Amino acid sequence: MAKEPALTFARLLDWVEGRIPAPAAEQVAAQVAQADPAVRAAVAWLEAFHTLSAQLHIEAPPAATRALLRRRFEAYALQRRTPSLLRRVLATLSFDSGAQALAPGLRSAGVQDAPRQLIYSTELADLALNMLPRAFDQQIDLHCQIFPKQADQPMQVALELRGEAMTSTGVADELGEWTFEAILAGHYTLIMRAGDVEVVVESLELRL
Amino acid sequence: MLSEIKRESDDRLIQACRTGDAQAWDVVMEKYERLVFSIPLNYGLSREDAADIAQYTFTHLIQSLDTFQANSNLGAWLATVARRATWRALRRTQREDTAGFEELIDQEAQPQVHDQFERWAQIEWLNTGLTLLNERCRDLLLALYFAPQEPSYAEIAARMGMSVGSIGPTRARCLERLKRLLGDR
Repeated sequence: MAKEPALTFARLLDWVEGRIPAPAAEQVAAQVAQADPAVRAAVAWLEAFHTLSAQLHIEAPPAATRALLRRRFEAYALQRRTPSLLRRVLATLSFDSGAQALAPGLRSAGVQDAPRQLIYSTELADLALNMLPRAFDQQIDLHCQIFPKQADQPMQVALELRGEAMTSTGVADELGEWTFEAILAGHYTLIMRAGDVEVVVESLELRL
Repeated sequence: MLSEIKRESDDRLIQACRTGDAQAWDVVMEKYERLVFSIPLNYGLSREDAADIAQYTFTHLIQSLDTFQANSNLGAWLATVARRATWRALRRTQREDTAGFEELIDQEAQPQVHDQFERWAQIEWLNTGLTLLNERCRDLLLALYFAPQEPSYAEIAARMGMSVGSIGPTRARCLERLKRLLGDR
């Protein structure tokens, strides 16, 4: 009589997953029924795992999500490195599209629907802020873009938006851009840090 | 080095993150991103919504790093934040779907919620074991058993640079290793 194959973990796995053809599968079933508790426990575990794996999806998020979170952590890390001397610069508002008077006829052209834009200036950089309405709620995406006065000077800029009920942080990308998403209308302070310089936009009113 | 760091306790990882250690943060992400992303997926939310919830959950962690209590279970904390965010998202969806009805259904009162609670606990349990596996075993088991697309052996072999014939034996070894890591529960 041919010797029965040993009940290895791999063989039990194949049997539980239905990968062993009928006559051999019946042989395995008979072996399992006679086997010691350790083997029967392994079968129970495999059957439970098989059931669980049929019910669950487990996967990693998109790479973009991880990259975004890494940048948020870097913003946090930047704040942790307290510079010995921090130079604070207040940004001045140089342009507000919401304060521009509308010429006759522009209303019908849909100008009032353009995102509100603010431009702030400092000796180091200009900052453009665009307030973008979100499609499905009453919140605002605040898109920030930094234009350094010295264009060839690379810098890592951490941004922090502080409101009464929330604080959000980010790090500008290589184009000097960052978007704070899903912000409620209200008054905020925007702080940008690069090296030992802190640029502050005070009394920033976010509204559409 | 990274494998050593991965076995660091969560307390030490949190402490390292507090000092701005980006490598520690990468390890936290690698340990728990699947757990956090998969909870909303298994509640039926889209990948986009699940990505939003993952962003929210880990951002909440960053904002809580300074106050995170020692000896807290980081995995359970993240799972709880992700689960609550998922329920809020489900409630918002329900409101949109039942526009015009006055009464909101309380999710917590539904018998299915107990199954869902069990589900996220199962995901957390599995994720613990998967995180401790080597990368090759983890990727293989995730592809074979948990990927929604259900790739074939040929597709997995091509992606992982293995022969098709080696997938069967390797899966058995990896699953046996997972069983040892998880214990017999």
